[in-house]
Amino acid sequence: MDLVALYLSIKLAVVSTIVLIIIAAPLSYSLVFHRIPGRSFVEALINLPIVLPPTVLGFYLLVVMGPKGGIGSAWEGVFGSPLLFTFTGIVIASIIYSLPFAVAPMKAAFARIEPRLVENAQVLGLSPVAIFFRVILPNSLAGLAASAILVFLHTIGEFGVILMVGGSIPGKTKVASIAIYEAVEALRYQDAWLMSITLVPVCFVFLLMVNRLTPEVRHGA
Amino acid sequence: MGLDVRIKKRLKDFELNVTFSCEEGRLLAIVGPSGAGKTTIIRILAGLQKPDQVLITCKEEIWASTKDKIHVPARKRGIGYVFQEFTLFPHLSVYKNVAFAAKDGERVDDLLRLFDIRHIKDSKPDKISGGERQRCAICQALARSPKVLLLDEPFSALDALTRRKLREMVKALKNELHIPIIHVTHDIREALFLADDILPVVHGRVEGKWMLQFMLMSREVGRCLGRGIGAGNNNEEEEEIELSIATKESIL
Repeated sequence: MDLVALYLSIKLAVVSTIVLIIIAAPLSYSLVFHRIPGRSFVEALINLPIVLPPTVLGFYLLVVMGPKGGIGSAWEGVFGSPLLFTFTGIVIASIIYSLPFAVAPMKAAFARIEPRLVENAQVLGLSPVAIFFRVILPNSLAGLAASAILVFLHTIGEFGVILMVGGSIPGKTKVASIAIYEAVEALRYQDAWLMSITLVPVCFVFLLMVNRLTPEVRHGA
Repeated sequence: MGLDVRIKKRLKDFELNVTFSCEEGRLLAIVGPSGAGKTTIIRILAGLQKPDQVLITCKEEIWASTKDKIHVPARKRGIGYVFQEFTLFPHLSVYKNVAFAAKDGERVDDLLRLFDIRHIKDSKPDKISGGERQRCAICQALARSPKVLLLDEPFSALDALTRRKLREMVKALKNELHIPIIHVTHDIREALFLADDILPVVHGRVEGKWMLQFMLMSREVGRCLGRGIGAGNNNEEEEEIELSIATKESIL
């Protein structure tokens, strides 16, 4: 069993989750509480990874993150090293890929907050930033946790985008899903079994947690 | 020197067009039927809604002026706003709610004592009664020593007994606070009980006639039914209202 690949998957999931929560929370807050010009356009752009085949998204990321792409050349200019086929590269790719899974539960949690609470905070003298930290966040912790778990699981299961942007460099970009694929290709079924069976209970427990954190809507008996 | 307001705003079915003033230490009740534009007025005053044309000044500060393109945001107006309901922060205790924007802790303790909610200071809002919640909301609004107090039908979701108790508390408080108080209500009895001045608003316009007609009609109906104005009045309350009608300084 490729323990390094498993470790890398978890490391990627943890880093992506932390960064995504930091990015998605203010983004979702703005989408729910502020008038944003071109809101539909922004929301469609955020949700694009849900409908695009991962290989298509991976291909475009490969182009823009490559040495001739906008992000890739800017990165090289600043840091002096390429972005493709690095751990940082797959973190950026998985952030873009998992963004809709972070935004959706947060938006739902923020939308459940009574708008008058926000208005009350405004008249009590709070700035939008203070409202976000003192009113919105404490009242949407369950939504934030659900969002974090979903992103974590989604990142653990990523394959196509990671393969396109990161390739399969052991210890750098070869995550568990790629290691499983390669084990199957090499007819090392026992390795594939072991790694797969390790991921199933972890994902199942995390999904149970998401269910517990998301308010249940049930119609009928 | 108090609050001077001139508002014009096109609403769905009519144009809101009102002008009024409220001096420090006085309570102005904006009265009218549902959908008359009362809440829109108070929301514009708070800075939560923008009108088409406006001039709002508080003491020497201009809060909103279409002519000078001034719109001071709600958070910078220094007002106390008591909403109808659902505005206490559910994750905070009663004490922390009141202290949320307070300038000093001593005032928080005084208010909790004055409004008799000290014994529930550690409870969360969902564990206390509607009356206690509204008392807490009033304390929260007062804790930051506001320049103006806005009350948006704060008692309408409460039972008759609690409503009466709270009305008395606000009346007592009015004499201690030397700030303009604007109270929106559809309950004429409440307005007569609390207010120094009354602004009757119907379809976005000041309609003094409507209020007098309503009061006279209510009295007639009350007499026919052998009761006072509205259901459940007692004689004491009727007398009080008769007195209010006679001595009310102004119906704008």
